[in-house]
Amino acid sequence: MNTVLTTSWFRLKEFFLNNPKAAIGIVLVLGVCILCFFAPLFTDYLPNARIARPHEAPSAEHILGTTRMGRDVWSQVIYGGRISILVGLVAGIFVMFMAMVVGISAGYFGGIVDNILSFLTNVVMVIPSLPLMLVLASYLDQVSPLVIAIIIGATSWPFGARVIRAQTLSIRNRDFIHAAEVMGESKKRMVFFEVMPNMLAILGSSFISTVIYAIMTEATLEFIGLGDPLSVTWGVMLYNAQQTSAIRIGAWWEILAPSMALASLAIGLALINFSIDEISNPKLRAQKIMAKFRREQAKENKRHKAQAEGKTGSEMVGGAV
Amino acid sequence: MLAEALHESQWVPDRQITLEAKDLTIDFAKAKSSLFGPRSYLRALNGLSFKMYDHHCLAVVGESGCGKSTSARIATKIHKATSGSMSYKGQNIDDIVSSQALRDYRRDVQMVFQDPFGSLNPLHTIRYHLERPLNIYFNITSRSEMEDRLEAILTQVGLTPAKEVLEKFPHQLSGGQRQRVFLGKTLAIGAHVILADEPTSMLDVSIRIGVLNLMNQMKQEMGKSFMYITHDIATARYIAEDTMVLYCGHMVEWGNTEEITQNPQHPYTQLLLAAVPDPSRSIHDKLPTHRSLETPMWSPQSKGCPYAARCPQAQAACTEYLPETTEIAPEHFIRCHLFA
Amino acid sequence: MSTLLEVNDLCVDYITLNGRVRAVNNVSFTIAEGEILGLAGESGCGKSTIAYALMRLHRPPALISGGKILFAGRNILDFDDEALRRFRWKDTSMVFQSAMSCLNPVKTIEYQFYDIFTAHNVVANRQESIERAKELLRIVDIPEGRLFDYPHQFSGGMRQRVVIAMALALKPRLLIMDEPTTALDVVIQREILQKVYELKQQFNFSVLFITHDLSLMVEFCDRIGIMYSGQLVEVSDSKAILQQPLHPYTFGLGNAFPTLTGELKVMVGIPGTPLDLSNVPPGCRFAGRCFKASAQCHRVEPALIPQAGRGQVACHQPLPLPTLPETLVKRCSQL
Repeated sequence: MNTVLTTSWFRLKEFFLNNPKAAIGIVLVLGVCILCFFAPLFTDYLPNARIARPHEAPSAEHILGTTRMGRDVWSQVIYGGRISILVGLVAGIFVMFMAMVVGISAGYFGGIVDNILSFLTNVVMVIPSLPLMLVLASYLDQVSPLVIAIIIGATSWPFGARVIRAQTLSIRNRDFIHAAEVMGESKKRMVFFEVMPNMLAILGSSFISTVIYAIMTEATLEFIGLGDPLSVTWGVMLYNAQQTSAIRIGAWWEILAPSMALASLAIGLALINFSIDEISNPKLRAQKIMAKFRREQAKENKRHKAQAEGKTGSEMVGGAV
Repeated sequence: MLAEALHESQWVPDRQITLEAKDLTIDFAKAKSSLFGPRSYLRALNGLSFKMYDHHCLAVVGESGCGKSTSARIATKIHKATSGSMSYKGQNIDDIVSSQALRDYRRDVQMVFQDPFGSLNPLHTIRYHLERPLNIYFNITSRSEMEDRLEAILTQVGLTPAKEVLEKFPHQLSGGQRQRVFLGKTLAIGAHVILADEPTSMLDVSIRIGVLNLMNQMKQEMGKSFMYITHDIATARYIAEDTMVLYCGHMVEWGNTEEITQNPQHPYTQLLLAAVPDPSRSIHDKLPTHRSLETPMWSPQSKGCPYAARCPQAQAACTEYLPETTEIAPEHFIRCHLFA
Repeated sequence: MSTLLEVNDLCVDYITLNGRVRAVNNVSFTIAEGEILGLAGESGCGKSTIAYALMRLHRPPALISGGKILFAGRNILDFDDEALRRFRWKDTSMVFQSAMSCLNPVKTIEYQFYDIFTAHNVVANRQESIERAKELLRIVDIPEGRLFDYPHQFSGGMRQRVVIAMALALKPRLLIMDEPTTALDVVIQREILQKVYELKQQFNFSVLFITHDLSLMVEFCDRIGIMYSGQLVEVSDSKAILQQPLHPYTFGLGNAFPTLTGELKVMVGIPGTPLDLSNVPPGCRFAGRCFKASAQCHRVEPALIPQAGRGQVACHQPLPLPTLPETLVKRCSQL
């Protein structure tokens, strides 16, 4: 396992240098996370404190202005981000756990286990999740973000489960799995050490997609009023902005700030997802290689032209492709 | 060099029997066409019988889909035979159920796969692939003993320098090297019976001979028992003492390899040998007459000889009764009504 | 026999993250009209790359980076899109290894023939297309009634025959076959190749036949070119190439096929592994595995030079040979 780690580190470094998308994505996500979790370092005001006049435009003191209630928008964004990100992570982890357990078991064991789990997956998938969430949310009166996370988790796992099951099935029938079975490996070892390592790309990609979905859905639910209006999250900020007719008054900063925060996080995560795709899909990689090649060719051609122009007319540089 | 140099084991007296199949038959259920109709079956093997020995290689020759891989999968307990029996050193393999007995059996009977690119997990180093069997079956605890063993195995299969090869991943090795690693794995497990399912058909031509020579060496020097499944009958002649020709899941001609290849009697074997590319022939040489039809799908209800539809010498009896086994020469058996 | 195809110093590169890898390096050969040329070699030698280059099927990251391909005197590499479209399938067509991957699984064979005919505007209506398709199926021994079947309803051998019929639909002058029978068993393989030979005699097209099975090539082809690591190392008459090989690699290959008849002897094959094309050492590419490599072989790359009366070889010390029979000398001197 030593060798796997050292080669992974080198591959990681190369990864960042060769993948601008991944680099930008990671910078965005890390940037948002650092701002949110080290919020006290970046602002002096508490999110719920009324410290200024309502609906003040952005200024040097309040870089993103203030809300209807006189609260600093910048503080709200970065403190509120904590909850939004945590909800996304919790829901994401919950979904991935369920999807992996169901998907890998169904794919690997097959037979009646597969039949039962697939049936379960199909039933839960068919239940319309948004109406279900609305019903649950309204039934439980005002729900905290954690409850929303659980609700999202419980209704969104079937999609991931189906994808993981399909991928497991395709790995299951490859020769090296048969070889390991014939050699006498235990089923537990087979699943964790032979099957799963080959699925890391798709597991990572599914996880990131789920986190994006969870963050957006949580914001959506809160925006339509099902969240806890006393908490500070990006969705609730949008809800409050809506309730206080911020746009009509002209307080664009109240809407823009949480929207930009959501967008940055989602775009960052999506860029990371694209990079994972690029690594595993040879066609996309080919496009990247060709783009790099053409850039280098263009540089060469410019250099040659500059040299040729610098020289006397009788000398020509040839060698076109 | 004479034939004996390659097949020294022909002169080994008192060979021990390893795997023996008696009348092996296996049916696979086909998907039902309607919800209430009877279930139909595909008979992949019908009445297969063979014996494998120490220091010996049995070649199983036939076109794709004839069931040759299926017999190996029954031997490794991936499939279970519908009727007939297969026994290992006298014990019926269906009786091997306890986990200890199963482990011992798996240690002794191993399989080599056709695709060198798919039979090793791409995410593990060669070291991992060889250490796992040593851990599972030999419980080696000391690091130095493990290193010695690993180096010994890689040297035996001709992969040197061993230290470098151990740290590589499968995609860094060529196809031939991967097959050698796999054969090394069977040595690490301590297998006695090795079922090689078309081990060289996906390798480069110049590498195939190296792998075949290695298998020959393992057979002669270490006394391993090989089953060599192939569609290339010339390589069967190179490493196998006995050959079995399969058609549509049935044995049609079997026995000593030289006898079968130099003096084929069954119409199908004659067709097969006439079709093999040979530099001394010409593409214009006509094949023996045969009707160019597809291989039939055999079911439990099918009757007669499977080759009857294509055979130019088919008689009335050929569509009715499966021929019995006839010994037409010492160590040369055939199943054909022409010789019954 | 006039020359149909002339390839001069063809170079094909693959662009990778670490730079360019030259998969085909200065390959030159000719194909006469009505001739069957075989290209033999192992994986990574570049033979399929050449086949794709002849029809300009390469997409990035593969690039044709040099040389000329003259088909009946015109350089294919200079063709614009329209000329290329007319060239493909009408002048040259190709049969690939796996029939299932070149037939559209959701369309009937009849539709796929119609597609070919209308793309090149050779039929007036559907009825005419059906008539011509039936005739094509007849010449490859497939019952006419199967014209309206789907590809999955045919067996492997029949599918390959359908693909050959499609390749001959517009009566091309050159047929490129890239490992067409590797996935089929020996009986069907022989039947298909006998049929292709008959058709070649009837319609007088040339064939470029690519495979790794040298024995099959000796039976089927008129001349054989041996490729190693992206270069052509020997071109010889097919009947002479195994008995009197010129290049040590050919000699090694001949010693790598166990024989079905004759004396059973231990075969050695060729020690070593193929070159890593991104890291080519100076000198002859085969020097590392050659049993008679000299110091010069490791320094200077040999060029493909004709040997009097025998063929062409790229070797500093081609293998010596006893005197050839008259008839063979005459054939070879026409190369």
